[in-house]
Amino acid sequence: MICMKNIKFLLLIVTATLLFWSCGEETLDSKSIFEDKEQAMTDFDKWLYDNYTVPYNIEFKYRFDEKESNTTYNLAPARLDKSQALAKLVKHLWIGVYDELLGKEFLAQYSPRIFNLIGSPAYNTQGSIILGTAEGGLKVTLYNVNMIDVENPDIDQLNFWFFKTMHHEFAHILHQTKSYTTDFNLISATNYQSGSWVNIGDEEALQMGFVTPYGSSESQEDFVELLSVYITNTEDYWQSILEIAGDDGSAIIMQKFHIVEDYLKSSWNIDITELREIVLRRSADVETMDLTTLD
Amino acid sequence: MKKIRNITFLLGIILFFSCNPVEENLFEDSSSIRIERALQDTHDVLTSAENGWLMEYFPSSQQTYGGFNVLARFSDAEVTIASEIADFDTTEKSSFSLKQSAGPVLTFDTYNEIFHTFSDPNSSKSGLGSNGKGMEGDFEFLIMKATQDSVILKGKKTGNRIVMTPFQSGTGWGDYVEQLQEASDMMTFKNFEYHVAGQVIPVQVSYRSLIMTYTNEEGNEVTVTAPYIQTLTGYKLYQPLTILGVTVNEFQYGKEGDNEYFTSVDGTDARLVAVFPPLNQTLVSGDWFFAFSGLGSYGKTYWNHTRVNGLDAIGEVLYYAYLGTYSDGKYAFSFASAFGSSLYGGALHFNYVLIDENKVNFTFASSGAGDGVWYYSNALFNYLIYPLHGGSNKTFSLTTDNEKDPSWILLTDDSNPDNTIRLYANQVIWPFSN
Repeated sequence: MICMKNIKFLLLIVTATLLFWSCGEETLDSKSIFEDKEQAMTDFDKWLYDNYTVPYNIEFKYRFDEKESNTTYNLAPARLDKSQALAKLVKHLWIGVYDELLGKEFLAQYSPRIFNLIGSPAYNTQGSIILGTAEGGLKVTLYNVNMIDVENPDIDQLNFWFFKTMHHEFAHILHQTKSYTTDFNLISATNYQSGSWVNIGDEEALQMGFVTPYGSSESQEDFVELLSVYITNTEDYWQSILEIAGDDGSAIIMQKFHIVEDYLKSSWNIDITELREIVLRRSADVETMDLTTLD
Repeated sequence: MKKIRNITFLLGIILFFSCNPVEENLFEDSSSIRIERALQDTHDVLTSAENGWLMEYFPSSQQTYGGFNVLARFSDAEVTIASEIADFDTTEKSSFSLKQSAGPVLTFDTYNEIFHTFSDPNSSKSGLGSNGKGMEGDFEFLIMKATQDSVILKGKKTGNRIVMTPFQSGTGWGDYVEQLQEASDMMTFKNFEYHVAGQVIPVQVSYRSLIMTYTNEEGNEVTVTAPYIQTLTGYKLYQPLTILGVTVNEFQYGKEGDNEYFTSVDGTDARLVAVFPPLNQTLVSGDWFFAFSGLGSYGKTYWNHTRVNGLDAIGEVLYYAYLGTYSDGKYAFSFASAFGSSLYGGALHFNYVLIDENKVNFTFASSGAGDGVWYYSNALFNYLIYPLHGGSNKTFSLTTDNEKDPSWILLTDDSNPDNTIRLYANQVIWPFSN
């Protein structure tokens, strides 16, 4: 029995000793595994840091990053000089608009966090082209950046490709943050086309009470198209499309417009007509802007 | 007792080993340090080639267009590019990045007018491929190997193997690219005969690919495509070509009298001999593009009628039109028409008879494919093809600028000298504006 006890005791000691050793501490590597090698900052990078990152916490991604892109499309990266021009344009025509209207804090809080630039358009197989995409209010991707004529910028083209798109995507962020009244959805409830919107012509859309064919796809797109078309065009243009829309179409459009107008006023304290004035005034500045430099 | 002692002994051993606190690391450093070092090493290798690298670049996952020589010199922040696809004395700068993904990845991450010609989906940039696709070349590459002697890349989308070697020619970049362009002009042919293993195999050339159809050892007819890249001395194949047991990696150009041929650099017994088919054969075996400016006064009248009363009326513009084999395998007047950013394509079939070496007779087959018949009836495309058949059939005499490698073929109507049609080997986009 004594022998047995000794063995048990021995066993205990051996086990304890071994277990003790097994718990030896290893020193941790002080280096984080997420530490990236700092890429040298170019003048443009510094400008972006000062004008986008610091004041608004926005990352302006002009270099092609496959993680940020859609692999189903054939894409080409943006040209550096075109990216610089667009960075200046976005600052003046988009950021500047909301700064002027609501102060810097507004975009610092609500702006998408990433602007992602792609040089080429994204071509769909059926032949249509993607102008821009937004993902959950966090990232806006702008395509066809290489079409910008840095020497002679054309504001209509810029509006079509970039600014109407940006106002469109940003309007999504606004209504996802504070909902608009569901009355809006009822106005054209039976007329939404879903994916078949591609078969609707401009004039047909207007007569149905949609400002653009894409607006006829579903109510949220209808809402943001109305907003973005209104603020990026003159009153003359607005009246001309109402005329094409005819009595029935324009009545529907105006009914929706008043909801948009009320929504912006009550939810965001934005006067839509004032917003349009600022957008148009700043758009007119494009002609005299020097897009070839960063100053 | 003995049992217990044995168990204790065993337990001791197991616990001892299982708890060995001194664990040998498989690698000396942490993964992050190794990744960083791999990127730094790659960066050092890329920037080490003072004269830059000669890159054998193959776009398209099927290497449809063959390969192109690209020169690339890397500095800390920039890459400088030249290529035989641009003017020989032109270089373009843009940025690149090295990042960790599945191993180091090299990305040409801002647009380079030369380099991204291969990947721009707007097909008018390269003039090749369909719109929305272009040449479908990569600008992101996995780095498979990087040493001072060579860098081997793998295209992220195509999976193509792309080899870079330090540029060591005694000449400057511009001279080298010019020599390559001259070599390409001299050594480009449309047709060969491949003499190998006692057989003579017909070879068609499509862009920079040799297409060979032959009967293999088992008696089956097979078609092989061998993409190549131009060198100063001949063709270097994308991968070894083995036909009837004979393997070739590279061909060297030679000329004796009027005979032009390529021999195997590998010492194997294989020979590509340039052949020049009759002009009418060349016409019907390729795709030949229309341009409004290439039409005689007769054809212009008919085409104008279609443009004003057919295309304008439906708000469309002719995107391209060619004589050649449509996707249904039939010989046809083939076209695409643009409505906004959408393209609609179709074909109107033709029958042809080859007469002598330089005459061809066309008859409209009164059938179509794709949207061919729709455009025939609704957009007056019957007027576009009328100069080709004149209501029944027409015989044309053919002439060209270069019998060996025609850039155009001129069709002259034997019954009407005002009816001439110049067709182009290169794709003509917007034929009404060209």
